[in-house]
Amino acid sequence: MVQLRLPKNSRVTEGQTYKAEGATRVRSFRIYRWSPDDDQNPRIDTYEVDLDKCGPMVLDALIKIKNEIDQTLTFRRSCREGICGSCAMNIDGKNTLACTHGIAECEGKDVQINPLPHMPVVKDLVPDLTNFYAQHAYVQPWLKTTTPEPEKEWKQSHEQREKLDGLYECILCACCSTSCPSYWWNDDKYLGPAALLQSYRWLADSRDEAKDERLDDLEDPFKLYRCHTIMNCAKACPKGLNPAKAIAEIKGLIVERDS
Amino acid sequence: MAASGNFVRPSKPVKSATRAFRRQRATALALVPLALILVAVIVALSGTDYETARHYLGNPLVAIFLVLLVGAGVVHMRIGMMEIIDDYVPNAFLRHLTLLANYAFAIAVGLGCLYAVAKIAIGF
Repeated sequence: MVQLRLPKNSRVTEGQTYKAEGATRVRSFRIYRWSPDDDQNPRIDTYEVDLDKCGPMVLDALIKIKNEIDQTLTFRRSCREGICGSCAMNIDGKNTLACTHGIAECEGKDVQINPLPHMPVVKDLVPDLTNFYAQHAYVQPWLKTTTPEPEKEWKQSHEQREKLDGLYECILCACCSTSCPSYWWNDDKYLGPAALLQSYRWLADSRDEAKDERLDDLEDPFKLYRCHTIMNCAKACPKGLNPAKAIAEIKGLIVERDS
Repeated sequence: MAASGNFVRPSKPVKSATRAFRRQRATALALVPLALILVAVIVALSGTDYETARHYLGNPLVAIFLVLLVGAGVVHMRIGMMEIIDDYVPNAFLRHLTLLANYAFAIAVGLGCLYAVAKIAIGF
């Protein structure tokens, strides 16, 4: 049934404000907070951060808040250089990585930070990625071959290897999938841009020998064809990849195979 | 939002999904010139009286064009609506019911339009 408003216990309320006393260059961070332990509604807490004593990236501010202001703030982070994808979140209305997104890039007066949209929340800025990983597992992201394994390595020409550029760089941060309206409505049936980009990464690999099998697994009204080329995925990808193009290539492969 | 974490591998590929995709693209392409011709026909008929317009639409070439327009338009409409239903009706039973209604509506609209074109062209 369609709901026009969030259920009562999901409506976001205004939380606490933490002032930065004595600071001259201040930026406010409005951060989504929710804990499964206290039976409270989600809230937005406001943290003032002294920019003179903070690194340039949003993740620097989050770490400063956690270390110096509120240790209960929960978020994932690891590499701090856009490689691990852990700190993916919705910053200033756009899914991106907190570690590569500069505070100065945020256009609003305050910096709004929410967890990745339309995902179950584990706590604060940490989404539950169980379903996202199941989608990734479904596309079987590994080399599948039938011919006997060569003595040394599976060889690939430079041209064949170049076909993987723009595909292998995906860090599985989930920024693309969680920015996709089709994924929001059908995440239990549609694989989403991230998994499909990964699928095409193996379909495009000259060494892989399971193309038909892979295409069979995708030929379904929901798993692949829910993509309507909205392009939010390409806009959101912090690595500058284009999952929508990869999905179009998969559709092309299936049409070519079936014609 | 459903964190099922369980994606069932189909026993065989669903070819109808690809057929619908191809038909949607093909009819979309066909509708570009057909729509332009329709605009030309409407412009040519503007200001004419009922009898002249009826005579013009009864021309076999115009009638064939109208049949093609109705065919491509109805197929495209049905697939477009099917996509919307697949997107927004999560309940499987309700989705199948709505898809059936969509089929029936498309057939009714197509037959109605073809009847009108035939009546003008053949004059029965």
